[in-house]
Amino acid sequence: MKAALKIIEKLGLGETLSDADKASVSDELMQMLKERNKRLVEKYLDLTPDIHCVLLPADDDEEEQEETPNQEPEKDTIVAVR
Amino acid sequence: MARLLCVGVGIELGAHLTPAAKKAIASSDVVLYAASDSLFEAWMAELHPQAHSLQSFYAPGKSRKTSYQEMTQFILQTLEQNTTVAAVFYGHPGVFVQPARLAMAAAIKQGHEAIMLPGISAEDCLYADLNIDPGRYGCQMYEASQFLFYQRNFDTAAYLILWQIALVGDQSHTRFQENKENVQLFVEYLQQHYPTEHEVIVYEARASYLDDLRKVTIPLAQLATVELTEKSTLVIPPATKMQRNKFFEQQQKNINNLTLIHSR
Repeated sequence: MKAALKIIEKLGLGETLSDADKASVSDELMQMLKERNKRLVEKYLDLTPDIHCVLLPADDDEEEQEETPNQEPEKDTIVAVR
Repeated sequence: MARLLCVGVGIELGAHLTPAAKKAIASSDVVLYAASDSLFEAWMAELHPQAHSLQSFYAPGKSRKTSYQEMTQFILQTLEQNTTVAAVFYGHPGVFVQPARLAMAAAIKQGHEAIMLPGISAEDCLYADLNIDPGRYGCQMYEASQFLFYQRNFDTAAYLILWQIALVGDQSHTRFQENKENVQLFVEYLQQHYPTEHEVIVYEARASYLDDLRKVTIPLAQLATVELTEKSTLVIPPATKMQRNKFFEQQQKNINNLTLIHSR
């Protein structure tokens, strides 16, 4: 798993794979990675494809709505934003 | 006093990880993370020996509001037991991430320190991938359901970006798949402001080297025919020309004339 992720990371950065990188995964997996076949890679690595990524509900709450008109950043909630 | 670091790791696996985010994760006792897909989740799990996913707080039929509250509680409980905790989110932790905001607010209320470290957001990727400069015509953005639930005075001469369009109109916060009827209602609402044939873009940034970015350009009327996922964003390019502000121009002309008279 770790080796496959390192290869995906390297390819994403446009880096050339070393022989050690290529040898770190099976030929079968290497071929899937080269072909950018995500579904097969996920299956090969036994990953659950059903991941939810929604992190915000729509604001339909009257109480929450009252907070919005000033549009001021919530100063008491954030110490620093870098 | 413990320290909560809300860290953004960007949209593309590994490629968007900033040195600051990397350092924050490495220096934390525990890492809690929310990923965008299974590969991303596997990658996040490898970031730290004490990394735990927040994914289990989602469940079919469970309101996401409840999930976010539970995620927040879990982050706070972890914070109570450690010195430094990193809550890691894909993209930017301050953009469309309710649990990060809730956790930071609660942590500060409890006397802890809370710091946010930005990441490359889907919005950043969108500008690059679709070659859009928000400064050219202006740019407005809304969460799609919120846009539909409230009256908005938006400008059809500027870009309009609508996030989470697959879930548009869902008041239960329990859906993760698109609802075609709601999408069609959304289209009908938009058609009150845009021509039926106006070309819009369904966009999804790529999450890793194994993905292609998704860019589907279609007439507005056909939006409901396209497959929409949790990651889909709708981009509506300007449909009208920017109108000159006559009032300002006249006022400026008057001031210039007055200056000219006084200088004589």
